[in-house]
Amino acid sequence: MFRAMRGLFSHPLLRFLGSRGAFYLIAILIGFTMTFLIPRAMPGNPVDMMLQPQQAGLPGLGGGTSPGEGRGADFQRIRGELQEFFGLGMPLHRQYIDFWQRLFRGDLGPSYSFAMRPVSGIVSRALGFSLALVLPVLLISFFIGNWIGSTAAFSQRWGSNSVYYASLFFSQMPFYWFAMLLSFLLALQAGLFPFYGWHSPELTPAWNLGFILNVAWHYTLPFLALLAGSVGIWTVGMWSMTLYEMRSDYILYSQQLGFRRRKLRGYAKRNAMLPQYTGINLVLSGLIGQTMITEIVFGWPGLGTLGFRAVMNRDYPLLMGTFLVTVVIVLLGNFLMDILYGMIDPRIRTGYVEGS
Amino acid sequence: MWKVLLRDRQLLVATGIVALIVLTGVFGPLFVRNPHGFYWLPNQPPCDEFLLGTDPFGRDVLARLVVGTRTSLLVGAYAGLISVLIGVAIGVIGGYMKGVTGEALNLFTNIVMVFPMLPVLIIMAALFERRSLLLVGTIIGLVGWPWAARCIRSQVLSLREREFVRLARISGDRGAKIAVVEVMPYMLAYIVMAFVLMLGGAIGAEAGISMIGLGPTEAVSLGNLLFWALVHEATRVGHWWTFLPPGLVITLFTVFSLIMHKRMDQIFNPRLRTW
Repeated sequence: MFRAMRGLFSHPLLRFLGSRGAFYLIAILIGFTMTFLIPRAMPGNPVDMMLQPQQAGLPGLGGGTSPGEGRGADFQRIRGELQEFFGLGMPLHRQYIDFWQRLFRGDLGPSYSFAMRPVSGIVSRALGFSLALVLPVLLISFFIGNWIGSTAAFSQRWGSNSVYYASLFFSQMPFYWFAMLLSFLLALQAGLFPFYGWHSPELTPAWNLGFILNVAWHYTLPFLALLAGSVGIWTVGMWSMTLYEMRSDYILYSQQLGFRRRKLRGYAKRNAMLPQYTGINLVLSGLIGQTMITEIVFGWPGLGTLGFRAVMNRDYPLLMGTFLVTVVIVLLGNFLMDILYGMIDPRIRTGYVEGS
Repeated sequence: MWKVLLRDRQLLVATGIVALIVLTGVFGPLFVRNPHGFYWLPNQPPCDEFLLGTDPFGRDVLARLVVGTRTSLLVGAYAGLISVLIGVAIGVIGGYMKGVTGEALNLFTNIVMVFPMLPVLIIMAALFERRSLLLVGTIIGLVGWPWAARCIRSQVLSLREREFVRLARISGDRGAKIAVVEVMPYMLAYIVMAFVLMLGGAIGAEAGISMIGLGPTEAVSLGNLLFWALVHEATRVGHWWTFLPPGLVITLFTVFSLIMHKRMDQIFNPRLRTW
């Protein structure tokens, strides 16, 4: 059996993927263990810490606003459920095993700002909304940004520098700030788009054209805000890589041979693209954060808006569920990109270099 | 060397703008009104008396912007310092030591780097009911160091093969001593630049967690200004003066510190040197 396994991993691409897979498993193990340990390492007991504001009568728990009210039957019930969820009272290693068992069952605990509904259901609904923003933005910005970057760097005309500086600005601005600007300009001043939500309140969700168009109308502004920033990131990267490639020997040589500029640009672009593929991972990690906050600006019901609600209601289990799902999605996306990269880069495909 | 630095117009402009923002943060609060004072009518657009208008409580937005810049720079400085300290330690040791130690540190760096920053910041900041500037800076620094570690590691990897390092090794110096005495001074420019970049990144990160409601409590920061603009629906009522300036300061700072970094790299890095 071991021999069969070794045979399986003798292929360079598979060996590369195996080592990447192991890396992400370790990363998940460490990340989740941290989320297990940190609340328990805090002074005091995590459940009481989480319930402190409710005890003090802050909003978030059954609407109770006067001090004392939080100590009622509801409060004790919630306290009990949370204590059971955290497995407090058991020895630490039992808690840890219990933590993983629950994760594998998809049990992320109850959310007390959503009337004790399971966190997993709430989070998976929000995940769909977030991915609906992140994935198209990532894909479309990749193509637009690389095209702009390589064209601008190659043309070397007046104005291509300003493309670079504009892209640098877009790539570095907080995307949610640009979202606020768009909301101000296009929703308020021009009156073209709605401010808030994912559909007009008078419509009920249904699979008909009117509703889908309505959702698309609400989708436009958050999408554009995130797209502008992401295009900036790709353009900046592609611009620098293209300039670098244009100084390389093979381009200078082809130039001497009298190749046409179109052809040169094609050669330079193919080489300049490789680092851009590896950049997808980094952009995804950053984009998820920017998306989460942009969602809050527009009330788009994704993970960010959910996290915001969790913070405002001090709903730690919900926040933790949001966190775990986000991390898993980002790591999974990274792993998928590694697979893709392994297939694209001929050096890894044929085992010319050891991928690490 | 100085001549070359002074001839570079991009570098001069970028350094000037970064310095201007830093100076505004350091000395500006001496010259503006109290950021907490309720001075005037609420929600007034910019005018001669209040250059950036007033917020929904009649407070001076310019004063809040200047004080917010100071707060954000302070959080950024804490975070940058912690990032750079961890980054230098891990980068130098990881780059200099061959074998298991180096590999393990490299693996650790890559693992921390692969996590999405904002969610990690959120989950850590949410554990604290009250968050001081130092606490927020520390959290950001603890999450943001892998970048610094990577930059510094790659520098160390190339430096360790240089002649003077070999000479030190031949003359019998120990690894740790070589790393500190021979390699470190060569990287001071890099370390300073890594600090500035980390500072810019941390200002953005502070704004990010503030937007989700987990920024420093009881402080006026750039993120805090954006957060309150969001809560008061500034875009819907058209109070552009409350949300436009803080984001602009954040963006300008990061953009020009990046340009600064790029130009300095072009001057100090012999492989990119064009003069």
